[in-house]
Amino acid sequence: MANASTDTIAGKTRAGLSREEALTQYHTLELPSPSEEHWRFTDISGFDPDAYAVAEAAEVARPDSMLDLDTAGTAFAGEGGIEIVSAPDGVTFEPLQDHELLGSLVGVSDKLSAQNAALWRNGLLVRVPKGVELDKPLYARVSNSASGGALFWRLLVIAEELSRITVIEEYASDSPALAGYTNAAVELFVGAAAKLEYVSIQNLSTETWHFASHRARVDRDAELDWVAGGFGSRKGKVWIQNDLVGSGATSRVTGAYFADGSQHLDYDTFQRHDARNTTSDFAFKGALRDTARAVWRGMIRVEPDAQRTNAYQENRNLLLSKRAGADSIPGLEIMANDVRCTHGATNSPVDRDELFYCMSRGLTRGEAERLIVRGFFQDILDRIEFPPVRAAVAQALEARIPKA
Amino acid sequence: MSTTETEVVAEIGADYKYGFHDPENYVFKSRRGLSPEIVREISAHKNEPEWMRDTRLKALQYFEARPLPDWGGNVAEIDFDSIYYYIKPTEKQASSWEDLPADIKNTWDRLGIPEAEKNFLAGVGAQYESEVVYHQLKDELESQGVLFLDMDSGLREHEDIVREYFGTVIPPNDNKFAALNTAVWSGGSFIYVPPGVSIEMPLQAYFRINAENMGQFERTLIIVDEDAYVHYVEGCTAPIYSTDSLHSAVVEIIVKPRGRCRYTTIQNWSTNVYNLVTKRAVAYEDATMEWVDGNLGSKLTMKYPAIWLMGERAHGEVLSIAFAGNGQHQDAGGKCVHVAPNTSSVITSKSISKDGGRGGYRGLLEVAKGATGVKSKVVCDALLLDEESRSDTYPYVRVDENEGVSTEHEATVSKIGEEQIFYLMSRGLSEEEASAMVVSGFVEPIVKELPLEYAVELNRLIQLQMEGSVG
Repeated sequence: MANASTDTIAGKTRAGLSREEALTQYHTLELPSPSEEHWRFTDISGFDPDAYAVAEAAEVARPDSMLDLDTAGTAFAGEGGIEIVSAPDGVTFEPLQDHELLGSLVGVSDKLSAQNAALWRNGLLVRVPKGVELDKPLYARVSNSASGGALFWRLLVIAEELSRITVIEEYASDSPALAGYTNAAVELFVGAAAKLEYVSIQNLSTETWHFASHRARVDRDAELDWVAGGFGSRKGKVWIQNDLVGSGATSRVTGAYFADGSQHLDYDTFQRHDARNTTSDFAFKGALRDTARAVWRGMIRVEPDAQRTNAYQENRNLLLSKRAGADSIPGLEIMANDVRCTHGATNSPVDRDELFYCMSRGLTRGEAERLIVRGFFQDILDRIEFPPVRAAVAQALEARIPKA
Repeated sequence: MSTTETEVVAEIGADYKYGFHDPENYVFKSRRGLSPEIVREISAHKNEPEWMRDTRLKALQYFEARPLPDWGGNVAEIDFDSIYYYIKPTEKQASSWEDLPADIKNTWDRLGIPEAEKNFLAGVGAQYESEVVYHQLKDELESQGVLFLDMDSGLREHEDIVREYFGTVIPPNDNKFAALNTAVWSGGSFIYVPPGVSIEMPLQAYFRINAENMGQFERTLIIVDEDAYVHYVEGCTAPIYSTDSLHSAVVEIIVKPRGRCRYTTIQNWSTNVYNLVTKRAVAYEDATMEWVDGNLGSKLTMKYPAIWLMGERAHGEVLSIAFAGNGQHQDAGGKCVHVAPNTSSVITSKSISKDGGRGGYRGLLEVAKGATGVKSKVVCDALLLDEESRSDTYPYVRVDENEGVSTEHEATVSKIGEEQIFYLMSRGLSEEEASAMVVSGFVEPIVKELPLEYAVELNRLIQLQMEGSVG
């Protein structure tokens, strides 16, 4: 709504709170309710964050990965700790301690972010010095393994000027029916003329409540290429915000999701253009089956000085059953005039004409439907540059496409 | 546009064209502010039936209980206690043009009503202040059984119809401003079109605000019976005053099976008016409802004409133009709610922001469970003419049914293309003329849906707005 941008992550962020202050906020604030604009279509009234135990140090689980990677650095994290398996030379890849930039992008904006700020124990710090380029990705797998446990996670990535790296983050559950709660805060700093590829794939159990705030600050002539994959979790909300703060900054976010059963996914995205000649391009596609629901919100905000902005946002949902549902709420707030800002949103079932055509060529209905679903996602997959990630996302989608 | 026409338009003046006002001369004026006593007074003064008085009082409670909306425009500055909620301008309705008081005629002369009259308009019900004082309905409409009255007369003369439909499309507690309107409404149009009657000429009513700090709360109820058709045209202008004025109308429309209703508004209140309007129509089987909504004036407009598609194969269209100039906020839009299967809708929005104005689109497209086979498309385009202006787009799409349902939404925001301006200038136009022409072309898809005299008026108003747009 009109004031949407002020009540997104940016507006209410209070950085620099101590853990005690954040804990007070956590206890003071109410759980977001559907009377709040951003939570209108995501009702989490059945969720009690206090019902999940904050685990003591325990063994970090290593469930199977969706990705087949050759990494420069690998970390595994869970409720009880973080293990750095390997780290590249010349790059900081270590457990996150207190850091001056911590909380400056994702601070305390609501009860859940306050809880993360107060209670997080394990996180990862990635800092790539000026001009350093890594050919292989840095990889972190965040897994919940404690039944009834809460997992708080923080990732802080600082890509200094002219550096080039890929950071891949994977959320997974140790067992498919694990009941849990994950709460993540991710802060990405992309320095001048740096390039960061960031991949965040979520394949948690369908009994896990998942809340995450991801926010990036993209500096002059820097490039951010982001892939978000959402396949698991029960219900929750994922915030994605890009602040384009330097002239020539570019961000591209590619999202693919597939939900079935009674899953409820929520992506709340915000493209903030705060400098001239900046470009952002968000494209999210999702397929929904059974009684699954997806909420997608997007806001492009162009500040008065951000002339020559080019911004795009897109959300398309393919509805594979009668009882699946989707809410698409794109939005534009434009305060500069020399801009090109567009968005598109569609919701549709499998096209009967396409289905008929495929079946007239001899395919069974199931085969035809699979083909159409694959085709629906193809342009999203084509946007993913890193081959193992593209393969993993394609594989995850394929696994969900209804069998013939 | 030729140079001579530019000159003609320029002569109309940089001052607000309709910013004159006549000395006040009222028969009855309520006290400032709002209370159950004032509501009772209004109701008693109008000799209303008890049920209407009770509805008003109940609505007042709803109004007081509801908070001001915290979205859209800034309405916090409205001082509800300094507003006159009811003013009755002359003692009785005039029956012919000659009988009208001179100052009222004078006002309308400036608005071009007599010319409109000459142009074979089907009927003119012009609203001066809170109550319609002049009404003419062509004999042929009367003989067809068409009712076209001001709402107060409608309640007096056709209480049974009013009671059956009043508040059924927009309940008193729908939102804060609908509640306010229900409590203090006065004037507006009451139209009933009997089955099978198709009214070829648009029905028109002009609305004006004249007393300082006077709210205008007209209430319009249109019932289009089976297989009937009506096009209702509402145009608004208001004199400029120094303190803010509030306009909060409610328009309810019922389109029965196979009926068709088109409702056209050109809103051009002076730029101190808050225009907070609730408009909603229900369309039954095979009915068609169309809103054509142009917003050029006012300080703040919050208006989202809505269509509830209640019967199978009903079709809805909303065409919206918003032009936001200096100090203006046009929060316009449209809503289509598909309740029945195989219904379809199209929302087309064009907004232009200039001189620091804020224009935009806010809307809803909803497909309820069970509404299979729905097709809907929402297209919003915005033009930003300078660096100070702002454009917002807040579309909502909610789909609860998938079988055969397809929804599309697209929006763009951009400035006038440099190549377009360059091309037109290379053909001999000045930069200002070229910009005006591009803007006219931008709104063309909606202007072409207007009756001729409105299309001309709208184009002139846009040209007026575009004056001095190129430094």
